[in-house]
Amino acid sequence: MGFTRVLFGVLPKLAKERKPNYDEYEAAAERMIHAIKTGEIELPKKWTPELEEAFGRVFLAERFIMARAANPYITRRIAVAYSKAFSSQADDKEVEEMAKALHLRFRTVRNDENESADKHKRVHMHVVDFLKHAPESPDYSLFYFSLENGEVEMSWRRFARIVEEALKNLLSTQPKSQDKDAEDFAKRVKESLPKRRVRFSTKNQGAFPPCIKALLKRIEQHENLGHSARWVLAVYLVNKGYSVDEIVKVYEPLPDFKERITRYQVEHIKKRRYTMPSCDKIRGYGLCVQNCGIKNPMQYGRRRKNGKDRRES
Amino acid sequence: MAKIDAKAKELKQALSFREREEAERSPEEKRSDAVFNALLAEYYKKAKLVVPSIERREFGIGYKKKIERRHLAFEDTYELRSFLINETPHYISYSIAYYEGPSLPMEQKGWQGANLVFDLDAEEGSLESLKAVQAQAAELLDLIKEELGAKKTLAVFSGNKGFHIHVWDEVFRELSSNERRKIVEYVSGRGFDYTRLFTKEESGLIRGPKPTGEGYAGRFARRALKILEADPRRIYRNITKEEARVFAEGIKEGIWSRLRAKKLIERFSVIGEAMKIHSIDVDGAVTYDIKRLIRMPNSIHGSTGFRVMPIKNLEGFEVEKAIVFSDEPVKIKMLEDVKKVELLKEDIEAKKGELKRFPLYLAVYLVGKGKALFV
Repeated sequence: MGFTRVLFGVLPKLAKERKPNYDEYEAAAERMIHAIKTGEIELPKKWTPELEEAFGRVFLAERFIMARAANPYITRRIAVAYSKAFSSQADDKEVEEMAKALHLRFRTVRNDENESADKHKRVHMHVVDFLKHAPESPDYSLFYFSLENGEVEMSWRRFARIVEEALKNLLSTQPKSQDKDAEDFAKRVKESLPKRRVRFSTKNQGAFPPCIKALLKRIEQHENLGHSARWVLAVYLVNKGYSVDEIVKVYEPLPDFKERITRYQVEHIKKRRYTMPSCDKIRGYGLCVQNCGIKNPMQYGRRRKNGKDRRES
Repeated sequence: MAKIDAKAKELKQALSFREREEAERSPEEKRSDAVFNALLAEYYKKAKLVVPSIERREFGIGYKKKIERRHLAFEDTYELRSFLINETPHYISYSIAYYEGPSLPMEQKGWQGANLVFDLDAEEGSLESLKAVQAQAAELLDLIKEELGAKKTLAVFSGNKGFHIHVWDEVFRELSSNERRKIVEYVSGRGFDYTRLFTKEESGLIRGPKPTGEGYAGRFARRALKILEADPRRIYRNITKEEARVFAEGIKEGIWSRLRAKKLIERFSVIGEAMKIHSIDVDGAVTYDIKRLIRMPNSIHGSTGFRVMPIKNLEGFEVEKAIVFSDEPVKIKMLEDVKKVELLKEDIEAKKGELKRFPLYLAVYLVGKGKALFV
C-alpha cells in the first residue's frame, strides 16, 4: 500500500534529491510531538501518488529531526506508533507487500483444512527471520511451531504480527544524516518529552537477579518490551514490596508507555497476588540471561547473602 | 619480503610468553617437552588442514591451557602449517567469527558474522558418559539438518571429552547472540512446556501431537511411541502390554487419552525430560558468544594426543579412531599412580616414580594429562 511505497519507493528518492523545507519540518515536529504524547500516528486511509509524495516529505523531515535529537526514546516511540498504525490499517496484500520490502523470507500456502475465509492462508517463514523478528512472548516460542527444513509454519495473523515487529525494528534504527535546519525542531520535540525519572539506583539494583537487571536496562534504552517481559518485571517488583506508583514510573521510558494502562496492569497484579514465575518459566519466556543456580528469581538476593555468610564463617 | 618480516616479528612478540614459561620448567620437563613438541611437529607436517575462510579468522593457541594467546591470523594454510611445525602449540583454536582484520584488537576487528557452533560435553575421562553424549550429538545433528534446515554441517570429536557441531551455512552467520540463545534453548529443550501441546476436551478426550507432525511436537509424539515400545512403565507404572499398545495406537492419531490413569498429562513430563539434550552447553559460552574460539578440526588436543577429529558417521565413532600416534613402545617416567585409562580401555599398572614402557599413543596420553614425562 501507500506506506510501503512511501518507505521503499518515495523516501530513498527524496533523500537523494533534497533536504526538507521549513513547512515540512513544521508538520513533522507536530506529528512527532503528537505521537510522543499519545503513542499514536494516523496514516491516510486512502493513498494517492500525490499523498504518498507529500507524506514522504514530512516523513523524511521526521528522520532528520530524529537524527538531530539523537534520542532513542523518540525514535523508538515513533517507530512503535508507525508500525501499529500500519498493522491496524493494512490488508493481507499490503502486509505481504511490506514483508517482501523488508526482505523477509517466506511463502504462503493454502490451508484447505480450514474453511473459514479469514484463516485460509498459512505462512512458512525462514527460521532466522522468525528468530529476529518474532515478538518476545511464550506464544512465539519455537517449541510450539512446526519447524521443518528451516521453515516455521504459522497462521496469517501471527505472520502479520511478525511483519509489524520487523517494520518497527527497521524504523527503530537511529537515523544519522544531519541537517542543521532540523536543530530548532529537534529542540522543540525534545521539550515535549515527559519529565521524569525515578530510576533504581545502582545500589538497589545490586540485589536484583540478572534477568531483572537486564529488563530494567532494556527499558532504560527504550526498547519495546513484550508483554511477558513487562509482566515478569512487575510481578517481581510487586513481590519485592515496591509501591504501584514506583513501579508505574519504571515503565515510563517504554516507547508505547500509557500510564493508565500500566497502572491498571500493575494494580491487577498486586490485587491477584501473582507469585513470581520460576526460572524455568522465565527461560521459557526467553528472558533468562545467565544461569544463577537458583530455582526462582525471588531467591536471588537471599542466596547471595547466604553464600557470603558461608564464606565468611 | 617486508611483509613476511613484519609477520615474523608479530609472531615473535606473540610468543615471548612461551619463553617466560619455559624458563620455569625443570631440565627433565624441558626434555619431555622437546619430545612432545617433536611429535606434534611431525604430525603437522602431513596433517590435513582445512579452515574455511582462513584469512578472516582469528586464531588462539596455548601450551598449558586452551588459550594463552589470541589475535593470531594466517593468510593461508601454508602459513598456518609452518607456524604449527615451528611453534607446536599444544592447543589451537580458531574463531567461529569472520573478521575484516582478525589480528587487530577486539574492538577493531570488524565482525562479519559467525558460524553456528554447538558444544556437547561429557564427564572427563568417562567412556560411558562420552558414549551417551555421542548419541545426543547424533540426535542434535539430525535435528539441525531436518528442522533448522542446515546443509553444511560438520561433527567433530573435541579430542578429549565431547563433540562440537559446526554449522557453516551462510544464512545462520548473521544471528545475534540472543537469537543463538533461542536456538540453543530450542535444541536442548530447556524452557519447553510440554503441556501446551495438549488440549483436554470436556468429554475427557486429550488431543495432542501426532508422530507425523513436524518440529518439536512431532518429535515429542515419536519419542512417546519409542518409550511405550521399550519401557512403557516409565509413563505409568501399572501399564500392561496391551494397554501400552492401545495407548500407542491412539497417539498415532493424535489422541492421548486411551490410557486409564490419573493425572495423565502430568505423566507425559517423562517424555519431555527424555528429549532434553543435557550435555549441550546451555550456559552457552560456545553458542552465544559470537566471538568464541573453537578447537581447530584436525589439530592435536594436547591433553590427550587425540586428533580433533571430523566425523562422517557419528554413530560409528570410536575414540580409538582419533589416535594418531603409533604403538611403538617408548619409555616414560610416571609422575602419578595410574591404574586405568578408561577412554582407551587400557588397564595398566604404573606407580609414581616408575620408569615404564608403553605404546607411543598411550605414552602421549599420559604425558598430555600431566601424569608422566618422556625420558
